[in-house]
Amino acid sequence: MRRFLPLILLLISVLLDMTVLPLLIRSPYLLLTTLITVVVLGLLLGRTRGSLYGMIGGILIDILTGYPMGLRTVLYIASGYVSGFAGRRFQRYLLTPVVAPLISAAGTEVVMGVYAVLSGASVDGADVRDALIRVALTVVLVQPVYLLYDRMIKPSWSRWAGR
Amino acid sequence: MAKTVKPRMGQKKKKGGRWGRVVFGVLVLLAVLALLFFLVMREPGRVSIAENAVGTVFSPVVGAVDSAAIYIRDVVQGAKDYFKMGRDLEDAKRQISDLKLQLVTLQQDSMENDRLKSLLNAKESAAGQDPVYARVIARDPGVWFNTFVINVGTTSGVQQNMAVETGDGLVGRVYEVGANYAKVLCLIDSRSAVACLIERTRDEGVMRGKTEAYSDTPECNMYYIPKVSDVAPGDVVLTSGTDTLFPKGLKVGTVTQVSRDQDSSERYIVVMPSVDFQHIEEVLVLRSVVETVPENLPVLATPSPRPTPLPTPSASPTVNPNASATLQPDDALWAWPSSMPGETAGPTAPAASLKPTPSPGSTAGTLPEDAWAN
Repeated sequence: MRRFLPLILLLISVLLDMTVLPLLIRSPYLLLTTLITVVVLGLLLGRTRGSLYGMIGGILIDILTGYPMGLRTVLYIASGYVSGFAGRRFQRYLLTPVVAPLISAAGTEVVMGVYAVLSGASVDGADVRDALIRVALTVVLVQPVYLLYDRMIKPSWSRWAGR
Repeated sequence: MAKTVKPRMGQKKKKGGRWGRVVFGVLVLLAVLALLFFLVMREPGRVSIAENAVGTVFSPVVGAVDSAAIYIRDVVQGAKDYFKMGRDLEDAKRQISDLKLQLVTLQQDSMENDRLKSLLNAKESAAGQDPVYARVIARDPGVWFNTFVINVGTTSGVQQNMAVETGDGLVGRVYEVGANYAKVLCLIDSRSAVACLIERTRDEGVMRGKTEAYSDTPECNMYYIPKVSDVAPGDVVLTSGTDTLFPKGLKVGTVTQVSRDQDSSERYIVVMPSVDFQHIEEVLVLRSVVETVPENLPVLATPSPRPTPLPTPSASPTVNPNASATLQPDDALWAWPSSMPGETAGPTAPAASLKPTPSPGSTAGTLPEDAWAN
């Protein structure tokens, strides 16, 4: 069961992202739970599985709502890879769970914003401010999710395994 | 030592002696006689002294007992009422909860009813567009883009680029279709563009979306409006149909601001869409193929010589000093050609004064074209 737990958590977050959260929350600070899950799974399970889960989550979203197809998949794969790399390479560093989601969330926002601008959107200061707040909230939310998933998944390489 | 003897079973116990019973009987008799005496001898409407004395003594006692009885009755009744009220309160709370639940359900039903009613109206008004009902099942995560997924696809006859609307107006278009789902690109998405016209002035332009879907005013900009247009806030914006994507006449929104910048690249109109994009639950997909109105087709080069319009006749035609010849009102060039020899001009002919006047040498059956040739 624990083997499939990351996949189940990922599917739940994808469903949350596409159906529940947009229906309940009307806010410019709407967070991407799939991205948070991918980042946390990358931190816990390494870059290979982080990328894998990023690809699964991104493809599921792209198939149903993605336009253009594949943009979110690429972003989530990159997020999973970066988080997984940081989670293994800098596992004992205190700031790893902060820097990895920061890079992933900021990168996602930048790419999305640039694509929106290129496709004709008018991005002003308020949009940039909202994006920064979303990045900060994502980094904050990753921390409890990281602890929770660590308890649930119990990865072989845990940050707290030696304690 | 005296020894008490208990009476046997069935033997009555002696209470005093015979003299005692006689005295008791006499006293009762005297009391009855006294009572009869007082009753017979008392004057009607007045109470006697004894009566008064007894009444005066006993009436406060009776009043007190009565008050006590009332008090006890009230206390008992209060206690009963208290417990009953407690039960009633519980019942009332339960009923309130039930009613609240029913109210919420009814409100939801009412709102759904309103939505479906407006959707039904839209369906009836768009009956020629072969609409199909669809439910929104998923939305694009995040805030950058505005797309959503509906639960109908190619199995329901939905194809790419079909228009999607609600009872309030145009929502967007289908940009990808699966077997049982389709992705819809909203009007307010920055990648969306719709050919629109202002209902009042008939000025055409292109409306593009912006990214601020979660702002309070998810407005769009409409470009390429003529500089001389007198568009004003409040004007209704409709689809023009010239983009061959959306049927003509679908309501898009209302003009909220008009830019008066002289630079044509910066001049635009701000349009508030009529659809609430944050609360879309049901939509209609218009499955008909858009037929472009012939008058809106682009003007192509005509292979045959195009007829040149006749100059507007006036009572005193302007004389061009550079012209080699001066046109007279009764000149044959001003004539309207008739289709048949000898036939006068038709109903679309110019004024009677401009009818061809046969020249002195011509015959009655000569066509005006012959006169031109001459």
